[in-house]
This record gives sequence, C-alpha cells and structure tokens, in this order.
Amino acid sequence: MNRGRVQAQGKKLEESEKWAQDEEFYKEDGLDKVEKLKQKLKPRDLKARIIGFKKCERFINQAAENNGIRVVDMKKPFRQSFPKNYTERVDLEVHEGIAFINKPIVLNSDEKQI
Amino acid sequence: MKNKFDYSESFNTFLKDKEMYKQNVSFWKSVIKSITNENQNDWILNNYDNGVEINDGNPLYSVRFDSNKAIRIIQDKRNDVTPKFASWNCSYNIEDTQIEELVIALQPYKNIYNDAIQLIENFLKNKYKRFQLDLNIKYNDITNEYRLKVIDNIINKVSSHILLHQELNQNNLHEYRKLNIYIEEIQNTSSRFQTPIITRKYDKVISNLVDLKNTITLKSQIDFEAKLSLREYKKNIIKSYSNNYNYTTSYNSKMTKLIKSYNELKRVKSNKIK
Repeated sequence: MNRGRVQAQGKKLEESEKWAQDEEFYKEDGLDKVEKLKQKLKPRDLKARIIGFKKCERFINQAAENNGIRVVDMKKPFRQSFPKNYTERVDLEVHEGIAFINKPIVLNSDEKQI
Repeated sequence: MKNKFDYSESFNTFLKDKEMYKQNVSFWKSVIKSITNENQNDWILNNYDNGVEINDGNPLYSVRFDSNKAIRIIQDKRNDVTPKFASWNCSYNIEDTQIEELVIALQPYKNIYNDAIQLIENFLKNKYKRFQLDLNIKYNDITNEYRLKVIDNIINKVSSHILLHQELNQNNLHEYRKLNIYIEEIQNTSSRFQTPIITRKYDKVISNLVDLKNTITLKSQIDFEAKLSLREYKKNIIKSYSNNYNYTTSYNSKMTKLIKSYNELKRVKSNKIK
C-alpha cells in the first residue's frame, strides 16, 4: 500500500489531501494532490502559503528525478515542512510505500522493433 | 542552560559545506544525548529512493524516543526576512501508537540554539507549553524588527528617487534590480504584530512595495534576473506606459504612497510603545 498526505497547516487551519492506494503513486499524482489542496483553501490561506506550495511542488519534481521517496518502515516516515520555519505552512508526508516516481516511458510498437 | 557543546558560527554555512552539515547534525545528537538517557531511534526518513541524502536541513536532525516522543529540528540559513525561530507540535498515529512530536524550526544563532535546548529539556519533562509560546512570541517580535529594518533600508535607498523626471540611467537600472530582489524577498512574508492595527499598517506597506515593484518591472514585463540593457528597458517603458511621462508619474505616485504608509506604520508603532 502507498499512503501519504499533503497538508496545509497553521494556527487556525488544518486541511489535507490524502492518498492510500495499491497502484504506484506518481509525480503527477502528487502534484495533482497539491493542486486539489490549493483549491480547498480560502484565498487568504492560500496567499499565506504561496511560497510553501511552490517549494512543495519543487520538492516533488526533485524527488521524481531521484526515484521518488520510499518508506519501508512506518516508524520512520518521510516528512517535510514548506517553507522552513513558517507556522503557516504546507506539510508533505509519505507514511508507507513509494511516492512521486516518474511514470514509466511506454514505447510504441515501432520503437520496440528498433 | 549552559551546555558543554560548542556552538559554531560556521553552522551558518551548513547548506554549502557538507562537513559542516555533518558537524551540525552531530551537535544536536550530542546535545540531546546529554539531556536524556532515553534510547534515540531514527525518526524522519531523509533520503530519496536512489540513496541520495536530502541534506537541506528539513529536517536537520530528528529523533524518536522509546517513550513515543519525537523531536524534529528544521534549520534555515540566516535571513533577515524569514522567521528566526518557530516551534509547533504534531501528533501521529503509527501502528496504534501515538507519537507526540516537538518541531523546532530555527536559524543558526547561539542564543536561539540555547533557547531551543531549553525547550527540548522542558518538552522531555512535559512542562514546555508556556515556554514554547513565550519563545514564539519573542522571536516573532525579533523577526518583525528585522523585517522593519529591511523595509527601512529599502525606503532609504529609493526615496531619493522620488519626483524623478530626469532621463533614466544605468545606475537607476542597477538600483531597480536590487530593489526588486529586496521586495521579492519580503513580499510573501506575513507578519503578526502585537496589535491588529500595526499588522494592517505593515500589510499596507508590503502592498505598496509590491505596487512599486509592479511599476519598476513595467507591469511584470521585465525579468530583472535576465540580462537587460538600458535601451531595452526604455523601449519597454513605451510599450507598457505609452510614454516616459506616464511611467514617471506612476513611479512617483507609488513611491509617495509607499513613504506615506511607511510613516503611518512608524507612527502607529511608536504610539503603541508609548
């Protein structure tokens, strides 16, 4: 099972988008969760986290370039807060399994022959 | 608390110097070991699946104790517009066990380290909430003071340009480039002051700074990070403002509003202090 969540946190806010699926959780799925979370927020809460969301998206892209994040021991999860040092922030968590990997490149039949 | 571990001014280079990063991690490991005899377990995963370590200070160090308490220390490089210190708590359920986590986000300064160490001691004794709140208030005020200094610096740098009617020169462009960097750094920071009125006045100054930036970047048409000649800039003034007069008028109007709002902020702030 691949599980995790992206959360908008703050003194008066706790909103999240979770995932729990057997299928692989791709980079695009992660970015999609971030986008859905943005849409849930009031403009004021979103504005306070503009940099946080940008940094979170940048991290997901960077993770994809490095084969993603894999949590094998649930007692050692993955967690980052964006931006650093801000209570009004975006938390990215992977609780179990793999996340933010690149989709495999599917070759068409002509390319396979080559 | 007096700790026997040496804080190093070089910790500020932790993002540039791999050896310093390791020393900084060891510092926190040793400090926490000196505070408690509890077994220290690994806590936050800090590498990508290809094995590359995520050495970005987010977190710099983390630990979980057998008592199901955990500590996460996040470190940012020194910066006058980002928060110097913030602390919060998280709670997690892992395999039917509840983990209570203390998060400390800081910049590397000796006094901040000492306060963070005291907070960890108090957390492990279950008596830390009041101290944590006091530290958050104290460092929020310090961060605000630093931000005000940055704004003061910006205003002092650019206010001499008010009523600018002369031909733009290369020096102006150079100043705009620097100004743009300062404003970009501060524009997305949100500050809470002791009273809502000061917060509102501060927000107004930031909003006016962004308006000024909009004029300087010719309604966001100019990317100061890219190479740009004075000739190209002047050409873009005509594109965005039709003529130089409109541009100068816009610039002066934004600058007047900025200075007025900044003086208003200073006035409200000094009234509150009295």
